[in-house]
Amino acid sequence: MSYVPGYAHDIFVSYAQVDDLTDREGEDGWVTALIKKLKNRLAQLLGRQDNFSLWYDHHLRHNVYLTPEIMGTIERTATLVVILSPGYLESEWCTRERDTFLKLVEERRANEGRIFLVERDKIELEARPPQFGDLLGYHFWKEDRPGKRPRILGASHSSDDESAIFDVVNDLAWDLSDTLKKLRNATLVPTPITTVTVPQKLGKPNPPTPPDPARSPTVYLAEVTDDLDSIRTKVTRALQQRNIRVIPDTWYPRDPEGFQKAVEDCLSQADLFVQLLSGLPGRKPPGLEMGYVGFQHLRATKIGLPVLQWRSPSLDAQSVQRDVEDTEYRTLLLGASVLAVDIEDFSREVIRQTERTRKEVVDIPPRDAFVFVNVNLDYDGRDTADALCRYLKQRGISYALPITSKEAEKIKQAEEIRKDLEANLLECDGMIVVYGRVSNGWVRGQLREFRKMTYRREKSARALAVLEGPPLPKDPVDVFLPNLTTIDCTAGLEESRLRVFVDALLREVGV
Amino acid sequence: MSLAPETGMSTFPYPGLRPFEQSEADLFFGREEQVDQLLGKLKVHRFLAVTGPSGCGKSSLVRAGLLPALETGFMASAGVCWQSAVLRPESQPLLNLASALLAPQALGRQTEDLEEEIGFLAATLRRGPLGLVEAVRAADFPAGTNLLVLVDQFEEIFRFHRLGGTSESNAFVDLLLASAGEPSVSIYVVLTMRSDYLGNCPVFRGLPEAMNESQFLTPRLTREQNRAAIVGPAAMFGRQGRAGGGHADPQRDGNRPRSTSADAALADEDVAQGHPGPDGE
Repeated sequence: MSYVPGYAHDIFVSYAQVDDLTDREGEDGWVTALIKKLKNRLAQLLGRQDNFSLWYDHHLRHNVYLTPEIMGTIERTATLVVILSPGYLESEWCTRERDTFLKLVEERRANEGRIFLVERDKIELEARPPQFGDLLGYHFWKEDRPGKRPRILGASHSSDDESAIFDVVNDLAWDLSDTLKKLRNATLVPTPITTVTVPQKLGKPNPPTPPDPARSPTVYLAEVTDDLDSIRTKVTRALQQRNIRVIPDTWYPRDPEGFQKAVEDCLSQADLFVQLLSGLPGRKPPGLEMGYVGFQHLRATKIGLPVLQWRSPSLDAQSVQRDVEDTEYRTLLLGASVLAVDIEDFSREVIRQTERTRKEVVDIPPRDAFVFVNVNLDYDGRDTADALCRYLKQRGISYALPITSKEAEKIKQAEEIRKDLEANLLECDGMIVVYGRVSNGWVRGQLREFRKMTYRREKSARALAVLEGPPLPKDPVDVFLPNLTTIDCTAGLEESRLRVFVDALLREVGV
Repeated sequence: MSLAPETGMSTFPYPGLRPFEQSEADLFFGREEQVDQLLGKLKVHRFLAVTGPSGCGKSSLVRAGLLPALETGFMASAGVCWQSAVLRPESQPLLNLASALLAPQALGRQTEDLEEEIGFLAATLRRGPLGLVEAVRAADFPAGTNLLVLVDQFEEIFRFHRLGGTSESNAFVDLLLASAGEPSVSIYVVLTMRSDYLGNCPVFRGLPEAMNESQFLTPRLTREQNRAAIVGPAAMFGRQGRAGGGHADPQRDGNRPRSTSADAALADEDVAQGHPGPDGE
């Protein structure tokens, strides 16, 4: 029985018999072993073993062609798993029926997310049929050392591969079960009885509604060199768990022109550019002299995307200087936005920055000018501050006062008071420190806090002033900061004296 | 552990040098206030590190104090449906967590092939910091069920981290912290750790912050608590300690070693805590 209503089967596995041969008597071939594991895991994720139907013909012979019956079966199956290998690309049945089969593949691709590519071996993009050439696959191969022939996981029966095999099969099973659940939900949505329904053609259910990309924070996780493939997968999973969309989700074309265009299209959708750097510079094809790696970074910085890069902590600055011959790549590896930390720490930083980027976009309201009036309300009373705020209001300027100690008592959280102060100091276009019945040390302290924030501010403050109110005499503040002026209101608040500060503020804004 | 099969109750008043097990809660006396404090912290933060020197009773406090208290419903806001996974990190924390999660009192098993099931569960835990959250969601608990993950002897993770398990230990700690912090799933995390390892915590990002928010440094028992811890179990077995006004009678059960008598234990504790004995000795 199929899990997705309207289909004969849920999963069709297309593979080459040569990949399932075994020398050992009574032992499962590579494909059969994989399918068994996959079925067991799917049974856990979808409920029961008999809850879904996976079709794969383990009696296929070398020279059995993709018969019309088999083609018909594929048409009546919800998803397609292709086990890609050199043997698969060369297999006779595949070449004979290639066109028909690839047409089916194309249809599945149009119906997003319904074809899954298992890479039993590393196949260069150029060697793949274009219909699934750019699909990111599930890698059952591992490159132990850059440049060395990749090893097929599970082919040598090494126990070292066990956890890696579990990881990839588990990922494949999760993604398959997710897709099947979505397809099932899409077909099970109850239809209002007043609506006239058109019977669905078998095998063509409505595709699930894709998530709205505009609502998910999006990270551009740049293509990596092969040695970092598993690390990219790890970061991708961690981000996806947080509902962060990761792009690109397909391979780019390898020709320089196609590559550049695809990179630019993709970057335009991203909130953050993230790149994992290995000790190898990656390929530099003719026409793309800075290479695939360098080009992606350059375009991201050109369009002003925030950049976060990673290199392994074992790749320290000294070894980079010594071992990396490519000068441009060396500069990239030692750049200021490169973090040489554990990958878990890096993923956490990416999540933090992504969420912050999105928050900033959402939270910052349009505004004219915003002044933070920094006054010690406990000692000065509200008189000077109230008069000042009335004037700012008249001029249409937003302002904020600090949290008073009485409010603080209610909150009882030093963290909230500090965050409130920091937020005001970060966002204000100007600040006025009211120097009333307080020591000059207090005023100096406020100015110091403001100065500490300048490194986090995107723009420098437009106007900054110490407003000297009653009583006299006053000890000098003796602080120099750019844009800092003193407004003498010791004899009472005079609008004419404030006007200079406010005009400077508004002139900068262009109001 | 020594349990009477017909009652499920303990058959001997003291566990000796080993920590109390959860099943020995009926013998666990004297730490009720401490358990209340643990519950208070755990309720707010869903994360709790119980620290203290070696042998101070951290494991007993959690296993025989906290766990039964949760199941009894003392954390009212969370209800009484608790599943628990108890593990030590050793040198394969994620596999050990997967293994502990497959116990019947945790997520339970779905298939016959234990090795494969552990393999897949560990792979899910490796998927990222929310791996445990995904696993719990997939387990499809009835509404109102909570999962407590108790990592006993958490300090083992520092050795594993130092000896080459950096990536896995990072992932393990991330997983624990992210699970406790995920509001959509009810996962509570409790660690017990020797306090001499506190200085190692900053090797894991986020761990010192979590510990600053919710840590319980296990105090020594007060004299009254101590008395309860010794006399209580003895009384369960028909003896009375001096607190009850009489003397324990070691002769009533000639098969038990004399060193377990409530009198002797209290006297030892008096010396250890610098108190004179009740007789002024």
